[in-house]
Amino acid sequence: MINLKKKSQTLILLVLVIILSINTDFFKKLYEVISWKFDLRIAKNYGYCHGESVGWLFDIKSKYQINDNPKIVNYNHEPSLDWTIINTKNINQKSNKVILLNYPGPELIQNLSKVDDNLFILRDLYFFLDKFDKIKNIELLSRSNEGKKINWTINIYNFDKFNKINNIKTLKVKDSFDTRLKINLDINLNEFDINQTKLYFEIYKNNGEKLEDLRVNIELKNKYILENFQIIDNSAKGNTDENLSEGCYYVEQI
Amino acid sequence: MIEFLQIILIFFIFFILLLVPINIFNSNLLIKENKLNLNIASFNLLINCNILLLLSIIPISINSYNFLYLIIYFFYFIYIYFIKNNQLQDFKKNSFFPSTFFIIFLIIAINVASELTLGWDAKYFYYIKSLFFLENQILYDIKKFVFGTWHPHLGSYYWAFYWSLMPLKIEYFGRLFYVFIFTFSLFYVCHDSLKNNFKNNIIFILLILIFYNYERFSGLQEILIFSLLAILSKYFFNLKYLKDKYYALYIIMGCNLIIWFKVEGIVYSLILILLLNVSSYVPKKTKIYSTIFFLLLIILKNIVYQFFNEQTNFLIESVGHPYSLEYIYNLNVHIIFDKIKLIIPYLIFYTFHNIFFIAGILLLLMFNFEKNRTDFIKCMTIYFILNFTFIFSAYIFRDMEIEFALKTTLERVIFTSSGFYVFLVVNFMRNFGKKLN
Repeated sequence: MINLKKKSQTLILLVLVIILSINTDFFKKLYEVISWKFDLRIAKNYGYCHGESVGWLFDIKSKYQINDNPKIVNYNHEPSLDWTIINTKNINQKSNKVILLNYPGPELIQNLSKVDDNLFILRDLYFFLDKFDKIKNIELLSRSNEGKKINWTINIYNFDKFNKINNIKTLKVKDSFDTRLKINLDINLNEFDINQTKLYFEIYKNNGEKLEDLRVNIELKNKYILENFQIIDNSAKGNTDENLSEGCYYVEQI
Repeated sequence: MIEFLQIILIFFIFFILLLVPINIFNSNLLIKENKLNLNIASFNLLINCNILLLLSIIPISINSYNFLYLIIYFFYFIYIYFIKNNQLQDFKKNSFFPSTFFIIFLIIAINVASELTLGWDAKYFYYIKSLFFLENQILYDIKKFVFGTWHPHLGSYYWAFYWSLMPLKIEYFGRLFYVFIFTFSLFYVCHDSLKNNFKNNIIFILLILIFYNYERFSGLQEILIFSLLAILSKYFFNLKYLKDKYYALYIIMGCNLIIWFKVEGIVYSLILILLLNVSSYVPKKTKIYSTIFFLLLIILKNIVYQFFNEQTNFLIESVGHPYSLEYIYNLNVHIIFDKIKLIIPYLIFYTFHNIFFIAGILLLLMFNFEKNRTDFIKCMTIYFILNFTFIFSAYIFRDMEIEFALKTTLERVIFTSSGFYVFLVVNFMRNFGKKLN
């Protein structure tokens, strides 16, 4: 009787352990740990050359024995990646090499978040400040205004730390509208404070009409132009497509 | 396969920390009742963690002594268990202890080995600090790191110690020490002795099942404070019922570790010291000695960090936290009221997301309505009041956008604080139907 009780108790414990194993995906993960190397698991969890791209960073760190702490510029909005290649003995050394992750090419088209019919926001402004030199253009997209002659005002502003409005640029636009309209902006991003988080774009028709289907993009000019660097390695090395510019690059200033 | 075998090996390396320096089977040292040998295992863990803390502040790099440390521990273990006393039978008799514990550790460890991602703070601070130790540098070299004074170093040191100890040097082996401390803390609060107990085992596995979340082991330090608070809450219970004043000493040792894990560790430690001082069952002399001893430990920490970085202040680091006297002086009723209006809903939201925290509060409410409140319940109630005071003060006096601060940190603050309620919840489950002791 005692033996039976002990057996049933062991069985209950075993069932609970199995439930815990299933709940934590134990068997699948055990298979991964046994059959996949650490680097492969890192690439799977962090991405090889997408997202945080830690897989590629670990690869080039061991391939080139990187120990001079090159700057890492990730064009995807992710936490700092310094931890992946940092060398604590030379922690404050300035390197002339740069690692560019998820490189978008010389320009990036960024769409703005719509707050209401007239107001659009570039969020996380600080993220763009160390990667892009300036906002080249603003692009307006609308179907309802196709073929119309427009008379609009674009007002670009942000707020300082005391919540005071800071007007950056005001444009009066008089043009005929196709489905899209590109307007030159030329706003220098070096003038912004790193603590500023948002840039507001207020767009309205001068006759007070609503702009219901309006979408807005901006074109940003990259600080890092590949022609100005010598490419040491890139994630697509060996790829014969010469036009390929997107990807991850380990470069040195010429 | 080698990684898997190394995970098994590291469990036994960690396990030795529970078995030495005090023999868990037949020690009369620092404990009155021999049968409560699980308590001795917890004392051993605290002693060894404090030894590692001392090693972390000496100016010698980890790689020059960690293997020697392991060898000494191994031979000492052989000596006290197999040469001085032949206790193979005791190990066989109590085999459930390492086996249940090992199975749970293995399940979590495999999860950590597979997931691998690090938390935000781990990437910015703790991992890089670990690298300092790993790359043959010492504590005092961390001042070269721009975020060096943000958060104390002990968690990073443990991480680096076990990372560098293993033949395959992979970072997560260091983090498995966090898994070990966590698993042991829950095992300890669920069991009274090494004797196999079906009900306690069920509670232990259920708690892991409810609680487990990989994020806790992503290199963040909250899990260490949580685990120590869980162990220390049981010490407060034992202090009353086993009437063994040495528990006060071990509470101080636990508090000492907590202040070296995170800046806010000082608040948790001060709350525990205050609890020790207001407990009616602790002799006056013990209270005085404990408080003096703890204050000396705070001064030691300050001296070490003064040496480490000239910019540090008394009690807490002067940089690396969003608090300043200037901001506090400029606070007015309107700002405080606005902050409280935001703190309350977030606090309620995150409270309901933490099973130990909400269960602990509900149990305290229930027990406080009973006629004869026990000293332990009084002690827990004081903790609850001080803990809430701390949470409100932390956010009211914080010079940071309040909603952002609440969204990014309050969940972890509640999780850390909930460690002290774990024993209350477990004890209630174990005594369900009976009156709480």
